[in-house]
Amino acid sequence: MNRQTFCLLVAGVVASGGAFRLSAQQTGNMLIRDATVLTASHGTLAHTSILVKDGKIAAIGGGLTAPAGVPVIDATGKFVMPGIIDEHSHSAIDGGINEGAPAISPMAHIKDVLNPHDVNIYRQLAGGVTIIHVLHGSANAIGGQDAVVKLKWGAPVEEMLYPGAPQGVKFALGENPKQSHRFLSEGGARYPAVREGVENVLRTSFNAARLYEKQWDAYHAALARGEHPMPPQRNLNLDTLVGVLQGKILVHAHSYVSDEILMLLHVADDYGFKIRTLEHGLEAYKVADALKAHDVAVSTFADNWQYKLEATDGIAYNAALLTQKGVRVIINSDSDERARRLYQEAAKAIHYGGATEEQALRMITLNAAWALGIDKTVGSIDVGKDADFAIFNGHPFAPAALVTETIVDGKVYFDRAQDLAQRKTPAEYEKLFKPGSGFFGGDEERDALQQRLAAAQTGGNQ
Amino acid sequence: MRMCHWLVPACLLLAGVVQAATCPGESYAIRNARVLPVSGPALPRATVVLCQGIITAVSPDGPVPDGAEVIDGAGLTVFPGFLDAYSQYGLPPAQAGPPPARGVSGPPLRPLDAVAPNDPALYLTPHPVGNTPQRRAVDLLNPQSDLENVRAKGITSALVAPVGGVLQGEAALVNLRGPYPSSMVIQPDVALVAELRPQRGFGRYPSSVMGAVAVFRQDFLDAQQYEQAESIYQQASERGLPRPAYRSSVVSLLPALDGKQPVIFLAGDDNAILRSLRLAAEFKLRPIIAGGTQAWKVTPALHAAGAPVLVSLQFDPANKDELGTEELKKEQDENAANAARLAQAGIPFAFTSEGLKPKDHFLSRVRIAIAHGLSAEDALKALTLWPAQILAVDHQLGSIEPGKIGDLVLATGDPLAEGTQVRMLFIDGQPLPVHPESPKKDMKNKQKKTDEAGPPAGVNAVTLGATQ
Repeated sequence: MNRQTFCLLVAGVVASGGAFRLSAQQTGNMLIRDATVLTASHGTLAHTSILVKDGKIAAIGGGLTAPAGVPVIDATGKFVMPGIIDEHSHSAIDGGINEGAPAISPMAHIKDVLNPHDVNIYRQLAGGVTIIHVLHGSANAIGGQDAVVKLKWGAPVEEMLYPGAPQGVKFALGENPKQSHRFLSEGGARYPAVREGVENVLRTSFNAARLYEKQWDAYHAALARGEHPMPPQRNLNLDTLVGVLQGKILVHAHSYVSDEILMLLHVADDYGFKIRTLEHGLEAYKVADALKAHDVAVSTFADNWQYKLEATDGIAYNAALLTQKGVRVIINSDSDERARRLYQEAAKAIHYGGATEEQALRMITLNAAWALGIDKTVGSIDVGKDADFAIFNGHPFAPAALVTETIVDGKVYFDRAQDLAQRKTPAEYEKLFKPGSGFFGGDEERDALQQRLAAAQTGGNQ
Repeated sequence: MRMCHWLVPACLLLAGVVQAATCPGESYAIRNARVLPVSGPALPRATVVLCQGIITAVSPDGPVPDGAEVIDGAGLTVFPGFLDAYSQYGLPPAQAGPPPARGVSGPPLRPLDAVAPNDPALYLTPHPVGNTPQRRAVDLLNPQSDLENVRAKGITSALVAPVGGVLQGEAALVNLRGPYPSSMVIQPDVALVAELRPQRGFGRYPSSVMGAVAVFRQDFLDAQQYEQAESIYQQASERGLPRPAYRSSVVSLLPALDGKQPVIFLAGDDNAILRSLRLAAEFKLRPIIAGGTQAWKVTPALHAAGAPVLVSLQFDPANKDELGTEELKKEQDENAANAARLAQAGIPFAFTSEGLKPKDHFLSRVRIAIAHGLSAEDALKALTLWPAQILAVDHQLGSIEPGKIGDLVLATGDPLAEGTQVRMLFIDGQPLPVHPESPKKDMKNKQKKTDEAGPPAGVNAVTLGATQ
């Protein structure tokens, strides 16, 4: 399938004037009737309905009926799973995913540069994704701060940021922080230039953060004594690191090789902070006991390895082996493209290592929610949680299954039937783009989709 | 008259009515011209009197001061000189600042024992390249640069802004005459200029937009800290406190931080505009958006922030080479309708040459904006009175009213009509001949000689409109 065809299939475009359900006038109330519900927390429920009130799950059961005026999605024969959470994404970022010039960049903040118009948001909705964890890249031993984004396509940035999510920060070990700007920086090689230097950066940075914390403690103590002390200088880098030391900011650490993973755990122990997630962690299976003891989740690929030196010892059984050891495992995308089919990636944990269906399901839902500190409100189908669902026309782990609707906070944000009805023809697309100028997509595809949304909001809805 | 200051209203009255017949200095009177004051209705036949650089009278048939040089404006239209609300006229080419010293493009992280242990910030704060809020346009002005072609478009004054870095420096309002840098300056430090974009060159901090936001935020945190420390230091009854460290880059942010000076954010697309407005709100700054190609998409946010827009006349989208003809036309049309939509939404705006190359046409693009729904009246205001209001110099510039600076254009017809030719300019009340906008027209060499020297002898009673 070439890229143009792919785009046509994934994202149909432009209002054709018909009725349209994806409306801002949706209330967040609905009944999903008679589905097979994959709860991710308490098994699979056949012939079950889900009542949604004000964007939250109000009831789950067999004989539910819709109150007057509440729309019904007939899911007879369909499968409903919790909205998929992509724990490692770089989608929807404006102006560079790395602040790679300095050795550490926790002053940088993904929330400042989110692009709510990124067409990948819509494409990922089409793959059942409802939340993405947007991370800084891995150019720095300590990178920028993250954003947890609900894929409310068409809403402004402020409404997409998930309010309950604690702040997180990216760390990176190994080749990426070592090689980034190693030779090419204008001012000379950026530190570190060897992998051991990463540990030095971490320790030096947290030594500085401890001193900085003491300065502020002394300042606040003097204020409390009624004195008029000079305020210390605020430092955005050190603010973030103090947040890590105090356990307020979660650490998501890009890592591959087992000895470096152990190094990171030692550093964290020495300074008294926790690592929340290992990103990638291709050798995590070698140190599963240590990870279990430190309560660290591993967010990895299903069967993707050998793509660089550090990934040599990756195995497809990583996810299943870690799961057997009691480690929380997440399957992530790290890719705009793979993010659309994470349900197939999770299924590979069953194929390769014999994970159970629910274990595999949690790898793209509840475990990811835990990694982000939001498992109390999303990640499974339980009463009281956010009404985020992916509805499939078959079992999500069956290769031919397709997402038919994706629901965020009780509102339909992707509807396959509507999408199909409103796609442009290839001839119509060619009016928008010079032949050979690359693939369809980008701003124009996005604009067309948003025009459709706007048309729906101004009365084109049913 | 010499005792009068033009800011004193009583003096204006004296100058305009009672004592119009005398002027202690250089004086000009343009008679029989059609006058568009912009601040009021058009006067079909009027006299404009300039005395010592200031407009002293505008009236249907007012007295002319003794000894004034009289210009017969018959057949000509007089309107205020255009104010280009964001430009680099008269400034040296953009400088990104000196390259960082070897080894410090990132923080020079070293083992702790090599570092002053009680100053952690020292070695964890990268130095942003080119970031120079203390750089002042007034210190960079070069009146010898090619201002003739700018003046030929009817532009007599401009906001000129240094370029480079995230915090780029202090923009100044200048006239485009000279002859000295000091005589160009109308208002120094009118606004602080910022752009949230990465710096060119591999390994230069910031290398990303989010890094640029962090640079901006850190600098304003530094300014807040300095202000607080300075206040504690000044108020301390007991001595013995360390004095706050003086840094010109920090101190130069204080007027903006205190709301005394607006901050111009260069921002084109809707995300960049919203990002700038969020950052302005974080520090309670007074934002002005410059460029603002997609400002029409975010008018509610602009309205809420009270942010005016300095609208670029560059209508081509950044990715124009990738677009098919239909889509390209659609986007150009959207961008050309930007001003009309802002007018409709009640967002204050002014036109700028931001994004245009020096040789690009200026007024023809204003006509394109008019063709996309902007009224001709609003278009003229967006080149005169509105930029003056947005930049808080409307007591000096922007309309033909007694008391304002004598920046006038004498042209062969309506200011924005196609084919109108600028015949003569007054800047600071001084006459300047002008080239036609098209370089193919003759007179170029002739006028070049006279331009620096001021008006040729015998300019009295020249009938400029006769060649129409």
